[in-house]
Amino acid sequence: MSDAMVQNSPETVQPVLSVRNLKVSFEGPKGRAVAVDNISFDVRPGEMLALVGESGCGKSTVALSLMKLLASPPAIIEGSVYVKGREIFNLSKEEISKVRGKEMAMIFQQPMTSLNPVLTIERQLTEGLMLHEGLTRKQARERARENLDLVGIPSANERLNQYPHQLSGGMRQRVMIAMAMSCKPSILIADEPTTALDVTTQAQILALMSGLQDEFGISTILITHDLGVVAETANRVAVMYAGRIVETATSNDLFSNPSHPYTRGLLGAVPRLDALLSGDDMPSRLREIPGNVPSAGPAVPGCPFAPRCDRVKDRCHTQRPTPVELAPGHIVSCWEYA
Amino acid sequence: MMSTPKISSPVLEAKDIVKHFKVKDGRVARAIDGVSFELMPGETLGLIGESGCGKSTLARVLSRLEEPTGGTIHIKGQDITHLSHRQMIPVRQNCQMIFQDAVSSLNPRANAGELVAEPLRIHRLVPKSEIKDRVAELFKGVGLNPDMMTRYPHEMSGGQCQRVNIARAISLNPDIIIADEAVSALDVSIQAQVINLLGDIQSRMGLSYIFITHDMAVVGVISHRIAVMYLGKFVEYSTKAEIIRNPLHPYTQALLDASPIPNPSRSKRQRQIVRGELPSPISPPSGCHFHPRCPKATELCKTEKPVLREVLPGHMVSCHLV
Repeated sequence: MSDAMVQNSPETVQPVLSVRNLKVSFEGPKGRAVAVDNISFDVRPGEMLALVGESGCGKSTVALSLMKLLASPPAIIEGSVYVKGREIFNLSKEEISKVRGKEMAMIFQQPMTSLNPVLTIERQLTEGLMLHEGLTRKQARERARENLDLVGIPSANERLNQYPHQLSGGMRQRVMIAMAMSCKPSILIADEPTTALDVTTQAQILALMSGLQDEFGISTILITHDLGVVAETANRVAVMYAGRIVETATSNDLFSNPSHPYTRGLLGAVPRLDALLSGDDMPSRLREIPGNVPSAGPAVPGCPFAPRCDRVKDRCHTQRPTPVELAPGHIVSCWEYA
Repeated sequence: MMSTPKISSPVLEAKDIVKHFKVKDGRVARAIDGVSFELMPGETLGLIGESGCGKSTLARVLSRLEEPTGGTIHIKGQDITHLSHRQMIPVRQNCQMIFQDAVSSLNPRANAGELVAEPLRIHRLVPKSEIKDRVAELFKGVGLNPDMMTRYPHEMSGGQCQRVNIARAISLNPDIIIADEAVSALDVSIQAQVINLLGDIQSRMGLSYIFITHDMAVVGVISHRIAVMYLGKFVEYSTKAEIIRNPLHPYTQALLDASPIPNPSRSKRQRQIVRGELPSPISPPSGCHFHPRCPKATELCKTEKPVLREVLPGHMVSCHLV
C-alpha cells in the first residue's frame, strides 16, 4: 500500500456525518415495530455513500430521521447524529431548521409531489436563499437562475416563471436538485432520485449528481434499491436488510467480493446486462432468494435474514451477529465470519 | 397454407396498428403509428421503450381494451379487430393481461380464493363442485400455499398479489398473456421469483407472452424476441441476442448504454448519454422521430421518415444510417 493511500485511509479523515446507534421504531396495534435497528455509519467528505436495500428495509426512514423530518411521536427515535462533529438530534426546532437546507439538503423520488404545484419555480428556489442567506428577492432570483444553469436547465429565465406541471419529470428532478444545491450544503441526501425516471433521463441525472459531487465536494447519501445505479455512482455501499446494515464496503469490494449471504443473493437475483452481453448462451432464469421481504415488526433477536438464508445455523436465530471487518473498510454482520 | 399450421402459424398477428387519441383543439396524439408483428406459439416478445412511447397503449389495443384507429388484429387466425363486446368474451379467455400494480389490480373486497375462482365461474370452464380443487391446484402452480385462499389483497405482499394475478390469468388456459410492467414494482429478490415463475409456466403450458417493460436487463432475460418502441413505432425488432449484442438503431444503443450495470469496473466505461427527452406524440419531430436526440443524425434524418426494413436476416431496423 502506498503512502498516499495510507494518508487517505478512513481513520485520518473526519467524517462530515456520523450516525451512531440510530434506532427508529413505531408503536402500533401489534406492539412496537422497529424500522431502523441500531445502525451506525459515517459519511466522509466528498464521497457518495449508497444505502441499498429492498422496500421496507428502513433506508428511507434513515434519511427522514437524519433530516429530522420524521414526526415524533409516533416515531420513537434513539441514537445520535453528528454533522461536522456537532450533535444535531438535541437541537431545538429553530436550530435544526438552520441545519436543514443549509448543511444538509434532501431530494426525493417523486419530484412532482415534492414541489409545490401552486408556486412558480422561482418562489420555490428563492425561499431557502432568502431564509438562510438573507438575500433580497432580486439577489435570490439571480442566484436561482445561476442554479438552474448549474443543473442544466436551458432558458432558465423562462423556467423561473413556470409552474411544476409545465416541466417534464426529468426537469422537475433537476429543479429539486437546484433547490437542494442552492445553499451549497455539505451533505445531500437523495432518496431514490431516479427511480421514477426513464433510463436515459436517469443517466442524465446521475451524471449531473456525480458532476456536482466532484465540483463542490458535496458528500452524498444515495438511497436506492437499484444495484446498477449503485455500481455506476457510489464510492461506498451499505446494504440494509430489515432495519440493519448487514454489509459495508467500497463499491469495488462489494461487487467483486459480496460477503453477506443477502448481498450475494441480491447480486444473483438482479437481471444483469453484462451477463447477457458476453458468454455462449444468454441466461433465461435468475437466481432466487426464497421467501418474502419481511414486514416491520418487533426486532428479532438473531439475524433477520436467517429465515431466507441458505447457510443458516442455529445461533443465527438467537444471537445478533457481531460486525466483522473482513478487509479494511469491508464490514459484514454474519455469523459465517465471526 | 402448405406447411403444418399448428407449429408455424402465429397465435397473434398485428398488422399496421394505429391508435390516435383526439386531444384539445382538434389535434391528434399518435400513440401508436403503424405497428406490425407476429407472435408465435410459446414465444415471448419483449416490448421495450420509455414512458410515453406507446407500449401500454399497444397492449390495451391488442386486448381490445382500446379500439384501434386502424389496422387489424388476428388471434389464432380470427380477426378480432371489430368484434362486439359479447363476441370478445371467448377471445378474452385466450388472451389475458397482467398489470404493473399487483395490489390495485385485485378487488380489495374479495379474498384470494374468490379472486382466482372468478374467471372460472365467468367462463363456466369447471363444474361448480370442482372449482375449489382447481383453485387449489392453481395456487400451487404459482407457488402459493393454498392456505392463503382466505387472505385479502391487503393481507398479502406485492409479490404474493402478483402471483394471484398470474393464477387468475392462467386459470383459463390462455394462449397469450400480455404482461404490462408485471415485475417492475417488485423488489429485486421477488422480481427474480416472478420472472422464473413466468418462465416455468411458459414451458409447462406452452403459452406466449407479450412482455412490456422499460428494463433492458429484464427484457433480455425473459424474451425470445425484442421490439424497441419509440414514439408509437417499432424502431428495431429482432431476436434478443441481436438486440442486446448487436444493436443497430442509435436509440437501442442509447437504451443499452444508459441501463445501469451492477459491476463497478464495467460501469466506469465511457458512455454516451443521449440528450433531451421523449418528444410529444402530438407534434412529433419531422423525419426520423429520434433525430433531435440522435448523436449521429444527418440532414436526411431531419426530412425523410425512415422505414422499418430487414437489414440482416430477421433483424429489422428503421434508421437511414444502417
